[in-house]
Formats: sequence, C-alpha cells, structure tokens
Amino acid sequence: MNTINNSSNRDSRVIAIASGKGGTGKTSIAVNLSLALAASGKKTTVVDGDVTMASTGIMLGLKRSPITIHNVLMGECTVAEATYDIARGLKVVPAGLSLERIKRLDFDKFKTAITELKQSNDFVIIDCAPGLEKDAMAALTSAEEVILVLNPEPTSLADALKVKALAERNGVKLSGVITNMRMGEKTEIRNEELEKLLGCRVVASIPFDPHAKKASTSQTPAFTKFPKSDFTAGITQAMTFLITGKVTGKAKKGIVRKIFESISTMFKK
Amino acid sequence: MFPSGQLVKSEELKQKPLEVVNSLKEKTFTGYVSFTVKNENGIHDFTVALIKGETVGAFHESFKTKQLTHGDEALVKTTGYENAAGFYDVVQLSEEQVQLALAVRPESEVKQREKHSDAKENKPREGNKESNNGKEETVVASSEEILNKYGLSSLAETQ
Repeated sequence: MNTINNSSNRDSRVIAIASGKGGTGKTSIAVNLSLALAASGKKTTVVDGDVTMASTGIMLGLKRSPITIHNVLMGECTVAEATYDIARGLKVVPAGLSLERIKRLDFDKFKTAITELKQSNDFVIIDCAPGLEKDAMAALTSAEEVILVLNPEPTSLADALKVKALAERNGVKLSGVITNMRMGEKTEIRNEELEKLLGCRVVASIPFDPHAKKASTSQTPAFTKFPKSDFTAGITQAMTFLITGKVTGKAKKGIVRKIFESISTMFKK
Repeated sequence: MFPSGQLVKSEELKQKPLEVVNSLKEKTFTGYVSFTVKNENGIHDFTVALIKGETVGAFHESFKTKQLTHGDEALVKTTGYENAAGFYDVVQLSEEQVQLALAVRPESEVKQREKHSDAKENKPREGNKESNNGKEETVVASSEEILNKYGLSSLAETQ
C-alpha cells in the first residue's frame, strides 16, 4: 500500500547519510537507523537517494515496488505514491532497479519530493549515493543535515572530507560522524582525530560485526534480526543522539533491547 | 523513567531520605533510589539517580498538589521529609542505562553534581581513548599533523 504519514510536523528533520566512498556500510546504517527511529515512535521515512544502484528497499525486504523515486523524478507521480509501509511505522521511498530510464531523471525534483515528505514526518533519512555525481549531490543538497559514515582508514576519510566540504558549501550542516567497521587495529584512525578533522562529534562507533552482513543477506535489518549485536548497539547510540542531541556511552550487548523497550515506552507517555 | 534494573533493596523508610542517598554516595552506587513518603502535606514520590556515587538526576511528585519538579529543584526537595513515613527502593543500573534515561528526560538532570567526598575516582583508561562524554583527556594533534600522518596533506585546502 502506498501511504504517507499523516501528521504535520514543524520540527521535522531531513538528514542525509553520506560517505563519499562506497562500501562504508552507509545503506545498512541509514536503513537500521531509520528503523530504530520509527520503532522509538518517530514518524520516519527513509529515501533511497542512490538512483543508479538501488539498495534501500532491497535491504528492507520490500518485495514489490512498482512505483519508485524514479517515477517521482520523471514527474509521473507524487512522492506519496512512491512511499511504502515497512514495519514499526517506518516508510520507504525506494529507487528502481531498471537502468533504462535513468537518463530521463530530473534531479531537481528530488528536493521537492523531500520537502513534501518533511511535512508529514519527524525524520526524513536520505540514503545518499556514494561519489559526487548528480544523484549524490541531489540527495546531499536536499537535506538540512548530514551524518557522515566512514571507515577508520585514510581513503574513507579522504572522501568524507570532500563530502563535508561540499555539504558546507551548500548550507548542509554536518551533524555528526559514525565510524563503522572498526577492527580495533592500532593503525585505524582514532575517533578524536576524526573529530578534530571533521569538526564534529563521533556520535556512534560501530565495530566490525558479521551480524550486519548476515542481516543484509537475509534482507532483514540487523536492528530487528540481531537486537543484541554490536551493530545494533551502535545504531541505538546514533538514534539516541538524533533524538536527544547527546552522545552517550556505548550501550553494552544484552541491555540494548531493555533500553530500547524503555525508550519506546517513554516516548509513548 | 528508568529501565528495569536489579532491585537491591526495598524496605520501610526508617531514616531520613537524605541519609539513604548519602549512604549510596559512599558506596559509589550507580542506579536510582525511589521514595514514596507521607507527611502532613500528603504523599510524595521522588527519585534520585546516581552514577558512581554522584547525584545526576532527580524528580519529585506531590500527589496532593499534583506538582512535578525535576533536576536540581527536585533534589533540594528530597532533603526534607525528616519525619515522614514511607518506603524506598534501591535499584541498580549500569552507567549507560542511567545516562540514556537522563538523555531521554534531560529536564531531570541535576546540574549541581555532588558526590561523597570519600568516593574513589576511577583510574583513567590508558591507550587510545574512544570519544565519550568528554571526561578523559586525550592529546590530539593539529588537523595538519593528522592529515600528514595519513598521507592526506593535499586535502588541507578542504579544512
């Protein structure tokens, strides 16, 4: 069913999840973070901004999506018609898998679509394409804030710095950084160094966790399938930051579910 | 407000609530103590959260007046009730659980933190320190030095 959250929201936030480099785990984080926000009671829609390499809907196990962001960018329908219910209040605007019509996409329509979604959501999360091509720039510049996802190694950092520079030039605020796939090697870039270079807090530091890959292959988000995993603990950290503005200590394995259930209850009060 | 933790004690109040809180401070306790007391002004419910013996959060509710106070103001109220009858529960939580609960209800956070003067300080962690709430000191090189370290000095213009 194509739906859209039906409430006005002046405090809605549009956040791009970007990295510059591919393979940082950006889509996993965008999807799971969106699910965590929705599960905590926030009206959330995640948008697949990677129109050439669609993955958000696939990761969420969306079986059928005849209308996608592609149709919206060709002016064939509204973004509401391309929005699908997932679970726990999360909605998704998927990208299409076909390459046939990509040349006809009008990326100027992306921002209009996001503005429409903003009116009826607490959070609009945009999973940005890697790189700095038209699709990536359209997604990035349609947001008000960006959270950078990077791996703690130099090539990822280099690309993240470029994304940061472009974001700032386009008036998109860098709200935080998520480091992903930490292996605990001494050669990895430390969080303090990242904070110094990027000028903002590392809001979650996620270790390398095979559960994230298992979840991806099973098309069930780790947040749902592996609630006690390190990956989900990191997602919970990031979610807490987005909701409260505070960077919390890493939640330990085993209590994430308890904390999350408490948060869900609290937000319903 | 708080997630379920480990109930350490649940008993009749035979001393001042402030003495209960102070004893938890001495023990560098982490969790919360919740009081339900009755005095001439009616029934009152109040809770004090601690992390390693430091009071970090509080809220107070008066059932008669339906007044709800948070933070430092609530903490001050808990110093009364010298002759009140009632009960209290002490529940142990992890530091992260207390922090998370306060992060969700920031109005309950106590700004003027107090800990027992004899409370032992934790030894600072050694080695590479991950980013946390800023209580540990870490020497960080300048941006230029960090870029040079990772062979990214040509990106200095993006800074």
